[in-house]
Amino acid sequence: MLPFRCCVPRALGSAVSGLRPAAPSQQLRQLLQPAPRLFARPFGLLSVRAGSARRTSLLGQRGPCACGCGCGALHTEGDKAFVEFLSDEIKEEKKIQKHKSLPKVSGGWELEVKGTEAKLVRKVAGEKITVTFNINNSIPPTFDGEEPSQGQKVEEQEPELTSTPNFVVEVTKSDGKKALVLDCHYPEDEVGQEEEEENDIFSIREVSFQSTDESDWNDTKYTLNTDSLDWALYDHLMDFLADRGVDNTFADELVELSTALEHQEYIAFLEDLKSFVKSQ
Amino acid sequence: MSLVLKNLQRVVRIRRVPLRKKIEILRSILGVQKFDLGVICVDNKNIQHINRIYREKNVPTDVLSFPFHENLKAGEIPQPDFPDDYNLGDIFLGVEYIFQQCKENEDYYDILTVTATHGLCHLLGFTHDTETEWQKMFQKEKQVLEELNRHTGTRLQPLSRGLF
Repeated sequence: MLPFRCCVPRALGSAVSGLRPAAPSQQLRQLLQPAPRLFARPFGLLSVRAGSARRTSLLGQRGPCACGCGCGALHTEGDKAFVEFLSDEIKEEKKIQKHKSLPKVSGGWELEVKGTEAKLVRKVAGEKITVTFNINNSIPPTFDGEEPSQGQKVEEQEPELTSTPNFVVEVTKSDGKKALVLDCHYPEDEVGQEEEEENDIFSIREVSFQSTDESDWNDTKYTLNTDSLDWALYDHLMDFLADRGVDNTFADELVELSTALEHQEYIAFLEDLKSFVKSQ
Repeated sequence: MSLVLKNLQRVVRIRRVPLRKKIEILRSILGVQKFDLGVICVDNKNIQHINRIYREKNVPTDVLSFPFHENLKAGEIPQPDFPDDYNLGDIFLGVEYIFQQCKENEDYYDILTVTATHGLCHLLGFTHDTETEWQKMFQKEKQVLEELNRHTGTRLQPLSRGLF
C-alpha cells in the first residue's frame, strides 16, 4: 500500500510527447529501411591492431601485386594488413556471438529471412499476421559518455549493441483482399542514457489499409498518424495487436532476433569483405 | 482532457481498454475529466526503483502517485490559471505486485481499479499519515467506489480499509 505524495511532479506533457513522436508519412519500403543512424560498433581489438600494422609501404603500393604472390592483381601491403585486421575482428565477433542460429520467437511465428529483411508469419483462426523488419541501420547510437579512465578495460565501457528496428505488422482477414498495416517503432532513446523516460516498449506510429493485390505501397490510401490520435482509439489498436500476439513480450523477442540477425549479417559482411580484399 | 496509459512491463498481460474504461469512470465520479492523467504500469523492479529514489523504501509496492499540483487540501480540485496546468499528475501502478497480491476469487482489473482510486485520491491531496487524514481519504475512496459499484455492479472496497 502506498501512502505517497511526492514533491516532484511529473508533467504528463513529457510522457505524452515521449509516446507519440511525430512521424512523417512514409512508404512501406521506407518504413522497412529506417533513416540512417550513427553506427557505433566497437572496434576495440581492431584499433589496437591497426596501430601496430606496418605503415611504411601502405601509401607507396599502387602497382599490381606487391605482396609477392605473383597473381598480377592489385594486392598491396595495405590489403594484407586489412585482411589480417578482418580475420582478427571476425574471430572476436564470433567469440562474442550469442546465438549460433537465430533465436525462435514464441507463439508459433514462422521466420523467413531474406538478406537483411526478416518476416515473421503467424496464422490464427483465418487471419494471417505478418511482421516484417529490416536490420539495416537498426542499432541506435550509443550515448557519448565520458572517456574511459586510464587503466579501465575498454570492453567494460562498451554497452551491448541492440538492434531495435521499426517493424510493420500486416493483418489480413480470411477474404485476403486488404491488409491492415501498422507501423511500429521502439522508443528512440540513446543507449546508455540514464534519463528515466516513461515510454512504452513499442508504439504504433501509423495505420493504414493496403491492398494485398498490389506489390507496391500505395500512397493514395489514407494513413492514420497516431501523433494526433485519440488515446482511447490508440489503446484499442494496442489491444488489437496484443490479441494477435504482438505485445511487449513479442517486442522483446523481436529485439533478440533482430540483434542476432544483425550480428550474423555483420560477421557475414566482414567475411565477404575479407574474401573480396583477398580475391584476385 | 487526456488519460494516457503506458505499459512498461512484460510480466503481467495488461489489456488497456478495460483499464481505461474503469479509470474514465473514476475520473468522471471525481469530477476531474478536464484534467490530464498518466497511468503507468510497471513491474516490481521498476516500482521498487522509484520507491527507493523518491521514498527511500527499497521494496516493491502497489501504487505511487506523483501529483502535478502540490499542497492541495484533501479533496480540493485544482483551479489552474493556464490550460497546460490542467494536469493531475501520474500514477505508477505496480501491476506485478498487485497481481501477486490478488487473491484467487478477486478480479485483477477490479483490484487495479481499487488501486487506481487510491492513487487518484493521493493526486487530489488525500493522505493517510494520521488517523484523521486517513478517515477523510477512506471516506472519499469509499464514496467513489460505491458510485462505481452502482455503475458496474461490482462490490469494490477501498484500498485504505483498515489502515488505522
